[in-house]
Amino acid sequence: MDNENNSAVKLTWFDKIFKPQVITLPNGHSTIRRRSRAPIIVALVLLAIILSLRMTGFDLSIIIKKFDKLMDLMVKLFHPKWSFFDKVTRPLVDTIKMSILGTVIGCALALPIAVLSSTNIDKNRVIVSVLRFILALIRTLPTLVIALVCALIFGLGTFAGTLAISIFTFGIVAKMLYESIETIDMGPFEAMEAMGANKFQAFWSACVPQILPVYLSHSLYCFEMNVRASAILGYVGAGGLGITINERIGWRDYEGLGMVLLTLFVVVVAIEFTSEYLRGKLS
Amino acid sequence: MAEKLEKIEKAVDEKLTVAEMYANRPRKWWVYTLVVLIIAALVGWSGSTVQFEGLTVTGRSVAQGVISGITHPDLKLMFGTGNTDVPYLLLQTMAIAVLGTIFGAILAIPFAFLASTNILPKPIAYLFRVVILLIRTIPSLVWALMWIRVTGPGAACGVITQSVCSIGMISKMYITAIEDLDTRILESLDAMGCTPFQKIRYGVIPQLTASFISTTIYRFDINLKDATTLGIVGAGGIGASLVQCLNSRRWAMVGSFVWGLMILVLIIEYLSTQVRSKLARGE
Amino acid sequence: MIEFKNVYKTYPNGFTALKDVNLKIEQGEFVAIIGLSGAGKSTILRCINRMHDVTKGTLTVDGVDVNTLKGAELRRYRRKVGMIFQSFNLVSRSTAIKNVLTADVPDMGFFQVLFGIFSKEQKMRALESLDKVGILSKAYTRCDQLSGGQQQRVALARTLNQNPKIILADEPVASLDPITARQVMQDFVRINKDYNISILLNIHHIDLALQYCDRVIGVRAGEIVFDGPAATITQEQIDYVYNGTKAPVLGNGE
Repeated sequence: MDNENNSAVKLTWFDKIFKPQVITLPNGHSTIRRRSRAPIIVALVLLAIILSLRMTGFDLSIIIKKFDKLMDLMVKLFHPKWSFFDKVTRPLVDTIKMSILGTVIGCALALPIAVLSSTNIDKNRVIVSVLRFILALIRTLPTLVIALVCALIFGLGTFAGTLAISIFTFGIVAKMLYESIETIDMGPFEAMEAMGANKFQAFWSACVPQILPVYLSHSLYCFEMNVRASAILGYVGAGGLGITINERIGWRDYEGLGMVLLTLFVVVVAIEFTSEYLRGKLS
Repeated sequence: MAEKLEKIEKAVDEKLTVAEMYANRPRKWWVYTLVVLIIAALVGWSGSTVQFEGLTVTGRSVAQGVISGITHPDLKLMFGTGNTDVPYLLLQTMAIAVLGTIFGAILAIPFAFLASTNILPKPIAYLFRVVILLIRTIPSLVWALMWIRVTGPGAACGVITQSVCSIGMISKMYITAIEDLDTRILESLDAMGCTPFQKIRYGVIPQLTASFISTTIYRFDINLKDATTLGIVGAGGIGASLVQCLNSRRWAMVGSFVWGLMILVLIIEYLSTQVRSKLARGE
Repeated sequence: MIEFKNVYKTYPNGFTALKDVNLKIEQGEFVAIIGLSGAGKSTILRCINRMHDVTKGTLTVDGVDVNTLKGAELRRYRRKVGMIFQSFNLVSRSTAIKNVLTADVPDMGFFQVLFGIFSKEQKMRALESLDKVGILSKAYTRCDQLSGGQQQRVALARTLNQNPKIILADEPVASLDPITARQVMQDFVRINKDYNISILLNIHHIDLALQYCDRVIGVRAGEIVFDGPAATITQEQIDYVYNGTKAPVLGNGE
C-alpha cells in the first residue's frame, strides 16, 4: 500500500538539493514528483548566452546598419558570371580528385583499425582503448589545420589536400564503422567456429558480409562530406576550388564567386543524390 | 487477375532440379567487377594529378617543429589568463559556437516548418528545401569570408557565420522530426475539443522538443570544431592565433594551442554524447 | 559413438553445470535431452564439440579423447560434428546458398576464402543439401526474407553440407511456431534415418521429444536422472526431471 515505486526512482545529486515533492491522494496513495530541471537549465543557457555575447562583442545593429551592403553582395552572388565557368572547371576537377583519392585512402586504412577497435571482435581491452583514443584525437583536429601543416611540409598543391582528407576520413569512417561493427550478429561467427573454421575464416565468412555494406555506405557518406570540405582546403594552399574562392573574394568579384559557388552547388547536389541512391541500394 | 494468380501458383509449384537451379543462378559477378573497375578507374584518374613531389625545402624542419611543439607545449601560454592565452581563446571559441548554435537553432525552426511536406503543399516545401540545400552546400569558410566584408573581422563575424551555416543542417534534421510527427495525437486532441493553439502546445511541441534539443546539441559539437577553423579567415576564436603561430613557426605555441583545442573538443564531444543518449532514453 | 565417463563441468564463475555424467550414444541414435533451463542441457552439447572444455572426466567420440584435441586437430574434429542453434546463426544479409557454402570454408585456402571463390562442385553440393531439406527453390533468396522455419532449414542444410557424423541441435525449434516446429522435427527424423547421422537435441517441449525421438535423456541440476527409450518414460519420471513443475508442452498449435 505504501509508496513502493519510490525506491524505483533513482535520486541524483539534483534531487538531493531540490527535494522531490510528495503528492498524497485523499485515499492515502502517494507518488513523488521530482522537481523539474527545466528552470535551472534555462538559467544556465541564458547565462551562457549573456557571457558569450559579452565575449564575442556581437551586436545585431551592425547587421541592420550594413544591411544594404549585404543585399548588394547577395544580388551580385545571384548573378553569376557565366563566362567564368571555364576557369572553375580545372580547380573543381582537382577538388573532386582530391576527395576521391583521399576518401579511398582514408577508408582503406579505416577498415582494419575499425575491426581492431570493436569490442566484440578484438577482446584485448588495451588495444581497443588505445586505438579509440588515437581516433578521437585525430577527429578533434580541424581539417584545415591538418591541411595547413601538410602544405607546409609537402608543399602547396593537391598532395597536401589529399593527405589532409585521408586523415580526416580515416578518423571519421573508423569511428562510424566500429560503432556499426559492434551491432553485428555474432551468431554466424559462433556457428563457423563450431564447424571447425579458424578465426580468420570465421570472421571473413560470417562477419565481413555483414560489415561490408555498412562500410561502403559510410564511405560514400564520407565522400559526400569530403567534396564539400575539400572545396575550402585551397584557402591554405592545399589545391582545389579554395584558391579560386579566396581569389574571387579578395578581388571582390562576387559575380565570379557566384559562378564558383553555383558550380560547387550543382556538383555537391549531384554527388549527394547519387550517393543517397547508392546507399539506399546497399541497405 | 485469376489468370495471373494461376501463373504464379504454377511457378511456385514447379519443382526445379538441382542442375536447373544451378543453371538459373543469378550471375552477379559482373556487378562486383564493374564496381571494382569503376573505383579503380576513379583512383587511377585522381592519382594522375595528385602526385607526391617530395618535401618542401623546409618540410623536414616543419615536421620536426610540429612534433617538438606538441611534445613541448608553451605551458605559460596554456594556463595564462591574458587575452591572448589559450584559456581565453578557447572560451571565445566556445562563445562563438554557443551563440552560433542557438541563433541557428532558432532560425532553423521557421525554415523547417516551411519545408515540411506534411505542413505545407509540396511545391512550396521543396522550394524551401532548395534554399536549405543552398545554405548547406556553401562551406562555412566561404560564408565567413563573405560576412567579413559586412561586419569586419572579429568574433561577431564568427557568430553570424555559424548562425547562418547551422540553419542548413539543423533544419534538415528538424524536418525529419516534423515529418515523423504522430498525427493520431492531434486527432485525439481534436476529439477533446482543443483549439489549434492548444493542439500545437500539447500535441506538437512535446513530440518535438527532445529531438530538437538533441539536434541542437549535436550541432553545437560540430560548430565548436568549426569555430576553431573560422579564426583562420579572421572570424575570431583560437584558429587565428594557431595559424599565425604555424606560419611564423613558433612551435611551442602551436603545441599549446593544439593541446587546448584537442582537450576542449574531446570534453565537449563526450558531454554531448552523454546528454544526447540521456535525451534519447527520455530522461 | 559418444561416450561420457564421469564428466564434470565447472564454469569459471564457480557454477557446476555437470556432475558425474555417464553416457553412451551409439552412431545413428536420435536422442532428446530434456530438462529445465539451466539444468545443463546446453553444456552437454557444447562439451561434445569442445565449445566448452570438460573440467574432469573423459569424453570420447569415436575413440578420440575430445579434451586432448588442439588447434588444427580440434578444427578437423569439429568438421564431423554439426551444430544447429536456436537463433539459426545465419548471415541474414546473404543468400541461402552462400550460407550453405560457408560449410566448405574451413577446408579452403586463404585466398579462396579471401575472394570467396567456390567451385561448381561445391555449389552443386550446396544446392543438393538445400534440396535434402526441401528448400531448393529458395537457394538464391536472402535469408532475411525467409520465414523462421525456412531459416532453420537453411541452417540444417549448412550442417548437412559439412557431411557430419553427429548433429548437435541446441533448442532448434524454440523460436519457431508450433506447426513449423513439427515440420523441422520431421526433417530431423528423416535426416537421422536416411543418412545414419547421430542427432542430439536439446528440447524444451516434452511432447515433441517423446513423439519424434528414440531415446530421452533427462537432466536435472547437472545430473542425468533419466536415460531410456522415449516410449518407456513415465509421468512420474517426467515430473522428477522437471523438478515437480509442470513439463512444458507445445501442443498441436491449433
